[in-house]
Amino acid sequence: MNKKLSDSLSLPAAGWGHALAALGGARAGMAEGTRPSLAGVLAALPANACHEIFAKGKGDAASLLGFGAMLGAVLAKEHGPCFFVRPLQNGGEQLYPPGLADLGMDPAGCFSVHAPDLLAALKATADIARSGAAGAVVLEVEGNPRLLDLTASRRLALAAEKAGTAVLLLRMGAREVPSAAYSRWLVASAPSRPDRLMAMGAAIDAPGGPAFDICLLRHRRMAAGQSARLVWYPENWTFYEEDVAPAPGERAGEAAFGAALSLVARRAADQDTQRAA
Amino acid sequence: MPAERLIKTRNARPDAPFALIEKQRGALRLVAVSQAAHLLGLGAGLPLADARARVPDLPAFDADPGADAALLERLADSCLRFTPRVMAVPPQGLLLDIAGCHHLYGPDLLSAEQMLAADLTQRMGKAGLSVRLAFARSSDAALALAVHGLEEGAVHRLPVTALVCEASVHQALRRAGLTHIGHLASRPRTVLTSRFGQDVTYRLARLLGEVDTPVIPRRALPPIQCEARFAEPIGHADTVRAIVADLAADAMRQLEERGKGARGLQVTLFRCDGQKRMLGIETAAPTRDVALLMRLFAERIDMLADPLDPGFGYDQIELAAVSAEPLAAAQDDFDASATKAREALAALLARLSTRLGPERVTRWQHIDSHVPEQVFISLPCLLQKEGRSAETRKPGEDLVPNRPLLLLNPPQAITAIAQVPDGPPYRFQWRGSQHRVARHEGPERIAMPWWDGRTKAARLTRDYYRVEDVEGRRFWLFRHGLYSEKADPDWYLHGLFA
Repeated sequence: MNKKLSDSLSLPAAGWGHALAALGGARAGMAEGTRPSLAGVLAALPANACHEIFAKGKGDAASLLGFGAMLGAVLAKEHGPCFFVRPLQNGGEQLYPPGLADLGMDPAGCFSVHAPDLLAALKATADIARSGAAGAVVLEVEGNPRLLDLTASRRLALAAEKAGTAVLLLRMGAREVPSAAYSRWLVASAPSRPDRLMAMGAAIDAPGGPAFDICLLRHRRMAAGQSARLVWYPENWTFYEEDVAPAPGERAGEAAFGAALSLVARRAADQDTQRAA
Repeated sequence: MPAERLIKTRNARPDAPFALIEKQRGALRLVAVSQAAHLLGLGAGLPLADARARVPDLPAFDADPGADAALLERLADSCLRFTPRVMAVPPQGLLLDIAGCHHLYGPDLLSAEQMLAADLTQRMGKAGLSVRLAFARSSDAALALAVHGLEEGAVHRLPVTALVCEASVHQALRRAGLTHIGHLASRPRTVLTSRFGQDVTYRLARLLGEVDTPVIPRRALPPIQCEARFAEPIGHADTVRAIVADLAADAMRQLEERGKGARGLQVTLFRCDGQKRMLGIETAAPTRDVALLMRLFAERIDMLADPLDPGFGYDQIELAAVSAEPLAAAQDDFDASATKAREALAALLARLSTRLGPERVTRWQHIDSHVPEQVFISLPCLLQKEGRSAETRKPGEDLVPNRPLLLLNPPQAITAIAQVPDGPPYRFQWRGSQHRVARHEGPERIAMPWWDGRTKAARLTRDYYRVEDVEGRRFWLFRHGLYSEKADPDWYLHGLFA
């Protein structure tokens, strides 16, 4: 890993601009003793890679999909349409185009593919990624199926890298297992801040826009383990970081952070045991 | 013609007077009469009672316009022997465009025309039908001349009733002293237009052949179909594929001549033991790209539930373009990558649709409705034409989403408690877990359309609330029914926000 990193650093900076910037930002942040900005890391994610997003709990399905859709939009930009590959029957929960439009996306530029089983879904995802016609493809996977192993994710990552299509794996109710993903995120829904609404004169207790607690579980180019609360501004497709200063009565902001840390710790322990074995 | 049809079918005596009747404006009137009745002075439009007063015990039969129309269609089909451009002009006319077709009867134009006419009259006569023929340079003139029994070039001697327009106009023309088309043709058109309207001058121009009137041919262009037959049955998959590719290339050439591209192809494999297997493929956009079609074909074969079994081999392979759409040779965009991206997307959609089924690869189309679950439909990409659906709302118009990202369809019943009967929910239970509401906004009242024929229970007004629970999850709930509509309205969860 270290060798790879040094190799990449010795390369001309053209191809690695994003990663270096993120890395630089992260280092600068660390040097100052503050957390690196996850919003900046998200904005600098490479589009030609596979990224994995995990939902924290059972009730975070909408947040997971929302975060996936937003990240897909950010990564796809004007490169091409967004594809959603979904299982055929998903408990009657359908993607709702007006909701997508409210998040800043154009539903007319999105396609949905309903695959009868996971194998077909993986094949379709790889095809979409390989064709180069799509900007991003979002695949939802429930649990930890045996089919989605290291080989399968490596295949997706290669397809993404070759054609420049972002592949986002949304993992619902899944354990973290080794995969070829470039970055791995944990997402949970967070209480919204109605600041923007109030500025427009809305009622004080109206719910605000999308907000998430996210945690970086793994990143190929930087240390993981940070967490942050993000809000999404649909008008410019940007995540902004918010201070986590929990108001009394709100869920403690550290909850997600703590969970993430425990996950990181567990993974470190796993690696240790693997190494020992 | 109707009377002659009756003579043929009912075996009515050809020399006896009889009439066909129909109830018009409350009275039984004659709509057609036989030749013998015509000689007795009877005609269409006469009330049956008046006709019976002149010719006692005149046999009368019910008119059957449907059968007459069918006969006319059959006659039009039979006239395809004279020219491929035949048009049926109800109720009794047939229009034959014989331009370029008379050489079959001889080198000389006039005699060939006469021979064609004689042939036609003889054939119709054999079928028990009398014909009135006329030649003219324009189709309207030919019809009018035939109806009024005049010869070629006598357009000016036609009465004004030959103009296809309302009876009041005919009457007005006659009152003005204009009885023949010749009178009209010699007058300045502007005067005619200002006095009798635009329609008269337009019809006159058509009659005089100044405006071109198209003949709508009965016979459509034959569908594109290519086939290959083999003396020795073939069974090897690669050979089959190569032959299909050859046939596809042939079909694409034919399509190119017509300026079209294939949207659907069907390959039929005939096994030598008589079994046949049909494989259909569809594309997202009209194409003439053989490589793409062969990829789709391979995809289709891979997806077959029971694989292709050549048995003792195929002795015939047929490829037909079942649907084609105009595809002009297009100039590439200035930015070549845009064209390439569009083609790549079309190829991808065709491929996915072939593999998973067209209904599983969808795109949303906006529908003008205010009922949340009806504002869009998912349509198969293959069914949609190019061009984006109109979306009333601009993306990202509101700072905060008003509509959920996930819609629960159908809405799921929840138990909710509100602090005041009409107020927002205070706490609710969904899928076995309790949610306490921290923030809420609403109600947004959505009434169901009264005009659709649902039961009253399904037409209850919905009060929607956007709520956020203490854990930061955002929901879209509604109370089903106002208190004035229902004593104890139920609560439903309809969507989840990101």
